[in-house]
Amino acid sequence: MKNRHLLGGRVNGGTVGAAVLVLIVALTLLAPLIAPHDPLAQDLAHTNAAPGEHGYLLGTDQLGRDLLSRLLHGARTPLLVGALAVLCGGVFGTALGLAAGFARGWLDQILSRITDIQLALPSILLALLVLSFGGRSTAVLVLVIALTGWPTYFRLVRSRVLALRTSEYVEASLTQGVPAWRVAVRDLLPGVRGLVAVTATLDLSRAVLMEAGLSYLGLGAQAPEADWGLMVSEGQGQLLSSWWIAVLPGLCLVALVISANLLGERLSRRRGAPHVPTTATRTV
Amino acid sequence: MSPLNRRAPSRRAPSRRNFLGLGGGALLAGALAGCGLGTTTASSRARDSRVVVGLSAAVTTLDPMNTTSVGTDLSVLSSVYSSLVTRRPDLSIGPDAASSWERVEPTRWRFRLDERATFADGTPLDADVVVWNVERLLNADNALRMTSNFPLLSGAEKVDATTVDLVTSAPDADLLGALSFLYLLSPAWAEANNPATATMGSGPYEITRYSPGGIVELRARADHWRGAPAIRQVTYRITPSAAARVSGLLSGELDVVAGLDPQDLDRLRTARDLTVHQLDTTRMAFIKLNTLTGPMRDLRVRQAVNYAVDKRSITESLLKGTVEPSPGQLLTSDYAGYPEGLTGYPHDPDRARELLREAGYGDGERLHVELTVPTGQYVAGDLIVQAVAQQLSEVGIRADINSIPFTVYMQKYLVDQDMSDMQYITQAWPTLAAGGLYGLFVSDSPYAYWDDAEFTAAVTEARTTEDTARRDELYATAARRAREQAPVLFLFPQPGIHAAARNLNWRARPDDWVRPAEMSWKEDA
Amino acid sequence: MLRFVLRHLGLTLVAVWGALSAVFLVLHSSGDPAVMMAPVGADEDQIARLSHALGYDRPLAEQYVTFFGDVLRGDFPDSLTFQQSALHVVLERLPATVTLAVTALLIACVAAAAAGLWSGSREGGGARREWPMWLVFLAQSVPGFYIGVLLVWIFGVQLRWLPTSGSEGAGALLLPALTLACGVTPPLARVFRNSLRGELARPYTRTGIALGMSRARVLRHAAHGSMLPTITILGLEAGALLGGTVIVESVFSWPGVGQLVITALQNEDYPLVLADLTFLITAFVLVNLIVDLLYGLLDPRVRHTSARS
Repeated sequence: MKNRHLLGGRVNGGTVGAAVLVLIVALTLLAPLIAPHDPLAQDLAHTNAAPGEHGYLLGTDQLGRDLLSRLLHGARTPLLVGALAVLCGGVFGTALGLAAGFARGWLDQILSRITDIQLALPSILLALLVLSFGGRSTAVLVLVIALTGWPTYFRLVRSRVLALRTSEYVEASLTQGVPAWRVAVRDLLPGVRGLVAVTATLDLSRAVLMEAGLSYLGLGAQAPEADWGLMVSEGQGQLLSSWWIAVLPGLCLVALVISANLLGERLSRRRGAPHVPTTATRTV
Repeated sequence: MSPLNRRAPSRRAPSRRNFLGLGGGALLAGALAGCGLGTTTASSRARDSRVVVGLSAAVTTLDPMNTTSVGTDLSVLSSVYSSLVTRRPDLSIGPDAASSWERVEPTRWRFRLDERATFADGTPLDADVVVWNVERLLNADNALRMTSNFPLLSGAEKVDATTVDLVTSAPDADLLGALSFLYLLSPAWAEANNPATATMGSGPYEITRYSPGGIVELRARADHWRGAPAIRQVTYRITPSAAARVSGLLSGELDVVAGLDPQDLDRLRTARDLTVHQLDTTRMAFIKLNTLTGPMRDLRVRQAVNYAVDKRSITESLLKGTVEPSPGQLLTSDYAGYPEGLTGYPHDPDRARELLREAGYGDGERLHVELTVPTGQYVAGDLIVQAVAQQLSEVGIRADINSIPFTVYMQKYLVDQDMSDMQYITQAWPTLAAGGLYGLFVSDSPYAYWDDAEFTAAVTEARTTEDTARRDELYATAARRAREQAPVLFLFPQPGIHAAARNLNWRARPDDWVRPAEMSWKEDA
Repeated sequence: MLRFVLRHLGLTLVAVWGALSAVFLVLHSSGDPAVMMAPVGADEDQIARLSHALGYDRPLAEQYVTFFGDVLRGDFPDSLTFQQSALHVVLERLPATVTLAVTALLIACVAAAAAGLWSGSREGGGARREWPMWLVFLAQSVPGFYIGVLLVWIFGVQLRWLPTSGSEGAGALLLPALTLACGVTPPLARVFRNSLRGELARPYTRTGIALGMSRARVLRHAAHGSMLPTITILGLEAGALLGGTVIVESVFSWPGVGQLVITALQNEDYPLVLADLTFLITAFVLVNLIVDLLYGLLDPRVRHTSARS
């Protein structure tokens, strides 16, 4: 259990996950330099070219765009939206969890009821609703993914804070008249930092999956942008004749999510995080 | 218009090489292959006189007056109900419940009903039935969706038991066309039942199974007053995914599918058991320009975008050569009043750049427009706008694509009157009259976004002109004016690609109707 | 115990009310649904008349009250696209979703049991023991829509063994159920594997082995002991399945309530979206309530701590 042995038992999953994640981020950052073509440049004379045809290493899509270049650029939106959503949801959920666990009483009651209400809506439905009716932009996309993510941080942080709060040094600080916010920041925040870091890593894969799912449904990234989830949906009508258009971006997406999950699991095992809900990683 | 012949003699065998093992998937797949999955083959269906039709969207209502979806709802209901007249596959008007008709006054049409016409429960389809149906249609309280196809119809009057007059408020050249999809309900039955969820008609079929959004099954009425149709049983399967429709055709699960994607043509043509029908529809595709506000107010900009886009490269690649670029026309050649002799804007990027410079857009000032498309609504629509945007960028216009749900698109377009600079749209007029489709471009129409006195005057006069020669002359004037003023970026007719089992006799139609009564299995099947 | 049940019931009602109010507000913050109802060529007057006939021109507060009155009476307004009771449309789609969800759950149980038994009962480590858990991990990391696309491509398109859409026959059920099961199996398999391992490490099992009990018998006992935590997860997953059906039903055009809510959203069929979401949310919350209650029933500690907090 302690070491998930991959690759002949010498390298553990967490390292592999971290390495792949770094590779994907690096390729995404370098995409403008290393991509052989402009990801948006169309070649209407060579549409649906198979991998290797007409000098396109991984073929072209329905508009004759180079698939390799689109794959290299295609992680930008999921990574950016995912990271921002994790940041927003994490900060928001942690802050409220800290406040609820620390203050208890009516504030805790209200916030807990709100998370109950929110968890009563399957997150994909909530996202669909907001994006279908509340307008579509990258900012809304980030917010909606953050919105469906914060209750996890809230619940974990709150229960940890409830436990920490009864500890002697917190009680001591409070009786000595240290302001409540200072106690929260100085004494409680460090106690939940590790927990939040682990949650955030696993939440990243959830956020990436959600971005991909929403883009697949046409509610996330918009054409002509290169985005892995969107590319799967654009290509799925072509599975009969040109499988590569949908299948390859999906494989990239899987690699990204697996690496984030591997890293997250590794971290959570090292930190000994008690309970990070695994269902949260697979909403769509 | 004629069915295309097959190209290659054999269907490609399923290739195991392409199989991707998904941990234990091969084992599972083997187990699946072992169990019989109970799909009938086309030849066994031919023996039973049964067809399976793949629909791209669900049938949402059974009330024929409360839907305008021709490809789905109305196509199914046209088998169950009859109308006064019908539009034949060659688009001419023929008899249905009415055996003959004449225009007795400019605003009065007289219909003589077929004396054999009866509903499935035996009640006759007589003049009272027609009067009741027209009253139901025209009653604003019913808020029926079909009503707005009859803007001039003012009422129906019974002459005798089998003769009825329809009266219009002004001479209405489109009336017969519109009547071809006004399906008649039985008054007594409709008052006791909900026509949205049940049917009882005078058509050749009856519905034996219906669930909203799910499968629909029809059975031929052996006792139909016109004689039973050749196809005895019809199953409509809902397959919104294009890939699923094509694989359904290839595997023989589906016998008929209309409205296929041109990208699948090659694959379909290689199938031995299929006949591919490829024709221009009556629906014209173009990019509408908002001539009322923004940069498209300038005629030079409108002409520039027309010169900038290489229509042929799009029809050849994305539409696989299924259609020809339009000669600068808003109509397809199926419309009554289609003027010959126009030519489209050639692809001339230099001319486009020059016009843009004249309009004040040069190196410093780049033209930036929004191009809206309704998601997944039109054949290859999402791809076409991307190709157009790319070509516009080559002459220095930045077009941002905005893909939105059809309903939101219509809200912006019609209610908010807030159309973006450019929007992709395909338009048709069900009566196939030039005046109908041109009516969407006259100044006071909420569809127009174009205020042109000359075009409006020509169309308005033509619509009430009795003399055909004079009318066609007016329509030709209107067409030339539209070509020159470019209220749209002219593209091409929307292609109609339909496929059917090879042993099925069926003539695909340029309008969207799919009618089992027009089909039969070949004898040797 | 009564207090515990009442408290959970109350919380459930508050959750449903809050969720529905949110849904109602979001829906009504956008345009007038009468627009899409009107046919091509309809002018503004006709649209306004239609809007009035359908009640969409009344004040929002009034529509809100009407809506909740309707929900309480189980009397939903007619669906705009289907022109019949929206609840009726939803209920008609229900069997398809239940069939799909139950089949997926069964597949998930079998797969989880197999994977859990394999790697939970084996001694030692390494790939021979862990490979089922790697598959589970993989299934968790692949987006549901992509699994669907892959399955369609492999079995429907390349091999043509299975129909790729519709709801006719066992063949059509398999691919969507498999896809859905991929999302549910991982947590089940993990919990089962871990508790199985825990049981096998317990003294009583060791005693059994020492007394010469057969391996199969030892395993049976241990598996029995691992049931409670697994069943708890199973209950929670049954709720999560409902969310999963939305995507899976869309990929496979499976005519259930999940696909219905997507098409209703696309068509802006407000009454249908409301009825469908009301139904989904209520089902989701009820399943969670039942799991909570069962858990409280089986484990008295939960009952007491939550009654106090």
